[in-house]
Amino acid sequence: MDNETVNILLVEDSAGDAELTREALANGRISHHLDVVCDGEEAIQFLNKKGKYSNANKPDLILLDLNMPRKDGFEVLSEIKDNPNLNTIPVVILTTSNSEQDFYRCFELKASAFFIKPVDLYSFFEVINSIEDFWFTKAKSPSLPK
Amino acid sequence: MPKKIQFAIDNKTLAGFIFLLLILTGIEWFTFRTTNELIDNTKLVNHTHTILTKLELVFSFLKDAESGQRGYMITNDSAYMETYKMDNNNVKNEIAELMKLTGDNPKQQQQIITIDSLVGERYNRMEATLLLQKEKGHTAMAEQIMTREENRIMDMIRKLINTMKEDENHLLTLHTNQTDVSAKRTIEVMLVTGCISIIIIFLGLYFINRDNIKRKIAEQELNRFFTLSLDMMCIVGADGYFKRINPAFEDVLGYTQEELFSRPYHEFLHPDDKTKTIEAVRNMNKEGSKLAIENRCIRKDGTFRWLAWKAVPIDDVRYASARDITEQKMAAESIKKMNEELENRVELRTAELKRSNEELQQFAYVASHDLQEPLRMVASYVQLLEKKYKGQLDEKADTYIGFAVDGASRMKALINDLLDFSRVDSKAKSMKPTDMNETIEEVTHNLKMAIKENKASVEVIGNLPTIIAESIQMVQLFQNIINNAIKFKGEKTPIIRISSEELKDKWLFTIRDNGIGIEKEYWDRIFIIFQRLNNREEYPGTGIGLSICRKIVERHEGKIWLESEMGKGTTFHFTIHKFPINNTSS
Repeated sequence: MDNETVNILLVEDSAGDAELTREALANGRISHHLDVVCDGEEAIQFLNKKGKYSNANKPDLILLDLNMPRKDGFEVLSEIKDNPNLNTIPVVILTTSNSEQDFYRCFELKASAFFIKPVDLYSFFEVINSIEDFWFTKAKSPSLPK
Repeated sequence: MPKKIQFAIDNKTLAGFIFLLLILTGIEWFTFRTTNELIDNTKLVNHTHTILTKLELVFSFLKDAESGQRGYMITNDSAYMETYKMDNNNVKNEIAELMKLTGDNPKQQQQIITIDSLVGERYNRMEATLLLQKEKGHTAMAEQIMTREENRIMDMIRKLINTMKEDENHLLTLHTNQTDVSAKRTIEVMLVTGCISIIIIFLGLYFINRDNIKRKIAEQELNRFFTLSLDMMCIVGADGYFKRINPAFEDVLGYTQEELFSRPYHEFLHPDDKTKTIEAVRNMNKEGSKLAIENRCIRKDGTFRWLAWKAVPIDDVRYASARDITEQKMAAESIKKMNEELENRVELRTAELKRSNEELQQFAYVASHDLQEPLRMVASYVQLLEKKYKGQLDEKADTYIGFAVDGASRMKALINDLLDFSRVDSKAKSMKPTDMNETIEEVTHNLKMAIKENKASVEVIGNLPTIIAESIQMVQLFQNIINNAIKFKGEKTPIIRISSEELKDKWLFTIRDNGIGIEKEYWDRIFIIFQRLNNREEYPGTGIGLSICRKIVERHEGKIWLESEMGKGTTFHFTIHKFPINNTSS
């Protein structure tokens, strides 16, 4: 993987949303590689390169949905942040929940950003663009020297 | 308490009595006077008779004395001498008495004195004759007698006595006449006064009778009032026993009069009311005040009746009346029961309503929230379709995509508004002092685009107050109204004026615009959810905005209403309570 390509892991149980995110990212400016897992359990396996994910890339950015079966976004987030190998990966919450409670809980768990999925396609594209911006400004950190 | 002596006579009767007494005294005095006069006259008659008798006696004694002298001179019997001397003495005595008797009559006195001196002269002559016979013999004495000097003196005396008798007889006639007159007058007076007395007695009888009849009628009326009254009336003695009761007592309580008299009053009371009644009666007796009390009395059949008593103590007895209020009590009781039942039902109903309201809110929130997910899919993919394939399909497909996109975006707006609507209560936060000037600033900031596009001017008249409210909802409220004012602008550039006024316990806010206006029949309806007045193409909207406003205002214990004139503009008013109950800041 060359340095220009960003590895993004999308944790999303809704195929529709996953596809929309894929479209939005494809529409965006950065070159990336997107992996999609459909629940929290899978996400943890992916990150720990367990089972079928033994060849998985370590993501540079995680897009995490909150409402998921088996293991939800909060659990995934707290496991990532508790894991010294993973805790430097920025985690962006991408959810339909607009509950303040959820918002604050995510920041307590050290999420990097919190976005609500907009209904409108173009708004959604805007959100993804701003995540890209975020990645460019924030993620172009010393940990990823260019 | 010592009993006062009481006069049961009224002033009129007393005056009549005194009048009667005066008349009787007058009659008495008059009768006394006439009777006295009669007695006096009778006495005078008797007096005259006595004098007449005495005069007769004087003459008679004189003659007897002469007879004695002659007898002695003829017979020389000393017995005649005795008679002679005795009769002379008698004459003297009688004359002395006559002198006394005629003390009131100088003329008679004068005549008696003359008679007395003639009697003296005659006596001297008779003595001289007696002496002459003794010294000179019978012949000389006869000569002396033959001079008839003694007869002459005797004639003079007789004449004088006759004169006196005539005088006395005259007086007698006079006195007798006077006596007759007096007697007649006395009889007349007695007759008249007797008549007057009888009349007075009858008059008295008449008046007394009349008064008695009046009193009797009054008494009868009173008695009838007492016996016929439907209210219970009684007199209770110091010993607590009934002294008098009216038939209503028997009717209401079912006891006979004897039974009611046989026990003290409190034994007829309901056990639960005994103490309070006895206590109240004691207070009444102590303070001499009137008593009003409601209690229950036990009937002979064991049931009870509610009675409303009024009593007043006078001296040692209590006068009381009572009314049977059982029916009213029962009615009040049943009304109370019904009220309680109703209240319970209302409470139950309110709780039910509250629950269903909460459920509905929850439902609205969840529904609108969960609706967002599939909607997002529909909207996003239709848009994606449009974005990726526009121009690649035919024109019809583009139109269809256009409708689908429009429908989805409207549904999105609807769901968002519904969410807002349901959140007014469910997501309510605590109320805090909120500066309404800042609220308006925030609103104008939020509506910056719309204001700019429409060249609208939002003016605040005066300074707005700081009120206790939920600031986010205040923003929502003003934003909805101002947004509407801009949206429904007329031909002119929109001018929106905001002002406030302090009322007694609330704040009044007024937002005036110069928009298209609202027809009067919609002034109320417009606040109902989903009520739209204009077509969607011209004025898009969900019809939820003003219902959210109303909900916010009501949550702040206020009211919202509007006035409008078509083509001239609309004025919204709403009030916010100064201290809303939902306020949790204090």
